Amino acid sequence: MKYFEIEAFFPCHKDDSSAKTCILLSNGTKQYSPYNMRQFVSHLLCDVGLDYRSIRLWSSKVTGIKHHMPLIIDNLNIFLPIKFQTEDAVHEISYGYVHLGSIASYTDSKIVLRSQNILPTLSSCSYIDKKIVSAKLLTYAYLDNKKNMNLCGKNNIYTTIRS
Amino acid sequence: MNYLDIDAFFPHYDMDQNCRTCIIYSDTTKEFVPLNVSQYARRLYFLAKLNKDALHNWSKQILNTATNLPLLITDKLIFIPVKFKPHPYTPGHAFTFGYINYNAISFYSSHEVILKNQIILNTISPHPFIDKKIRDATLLSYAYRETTSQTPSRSPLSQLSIWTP
Repeated sequence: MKYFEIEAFFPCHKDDSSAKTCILLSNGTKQYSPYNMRQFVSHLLCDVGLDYRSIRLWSSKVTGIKHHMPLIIDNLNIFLPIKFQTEDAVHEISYGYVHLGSIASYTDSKIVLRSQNILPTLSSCSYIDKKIVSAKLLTYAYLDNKKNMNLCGKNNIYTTIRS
Repeated sequence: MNYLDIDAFFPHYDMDQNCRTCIIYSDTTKEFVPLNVSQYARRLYFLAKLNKDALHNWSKQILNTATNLPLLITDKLIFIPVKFKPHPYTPGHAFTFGYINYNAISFYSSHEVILKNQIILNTISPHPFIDKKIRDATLLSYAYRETTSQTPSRSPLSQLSIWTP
């Protein structure tokens, strides 16, 4: 599984506790990860050579928000934080991420993905709109940053790995 | 001075409560014009040969907000709306909306905005509001640059402005 194949991932609470994160792929299939969300995101970024905390710090600086900010891997792969309802009695609400490019349409109660999967959500339309605006700003800032790096002739590990 | 050198413009009332717009240029000179801020903003667009309504609508789509939109002239000249402290002769003594070029800001807090030319403007907009408006202006600037780089120049008119049909 590659990061660009992921359409969405969110916590799942199963009794046997073997699967903690559910991953929806672009071909419509589901996969489960034994890691919780935080660990899964760290591993995902680690595979691409990125540091979770650095990404969060930079995103926070650009967007001015501290919590529930979009997760950027590169300019084509941005995940929006979305509130999901879980079937678990303990955790009624959980936050997951949906790939921006995979969203076909959305309403106040559901998100329809390009793979025709439907995700029931608790995030309102205006919340998703707001997150999309933040994601746009992040994308532009990322491209600008990359352009400046190339102009300076600086090949930092960030740009080298992603390009 | 050219409109491209404007750092800020805001309402100014004289003793007879006549509204004028005070314009601050980058070389610290001030100018007073007998128009209100809204009329002066329209005049700015006229000078830049741009359609205000079209730009306003485009900004609305990009930022997904309908009120207090920054005034976009070029990617380097974007004015953010800021609440100014009322002038003693302001009718109502509430607050007045003015505009500051986001590229001309050197420092800002909840009480004042200091421009790069060291002029201090007293504001009542809270710090997070100015912060948000600067981010909106940055997003507009990026989006404008992307749009202009994608727009093919088919006629000599399109070199004047990207907004011509």
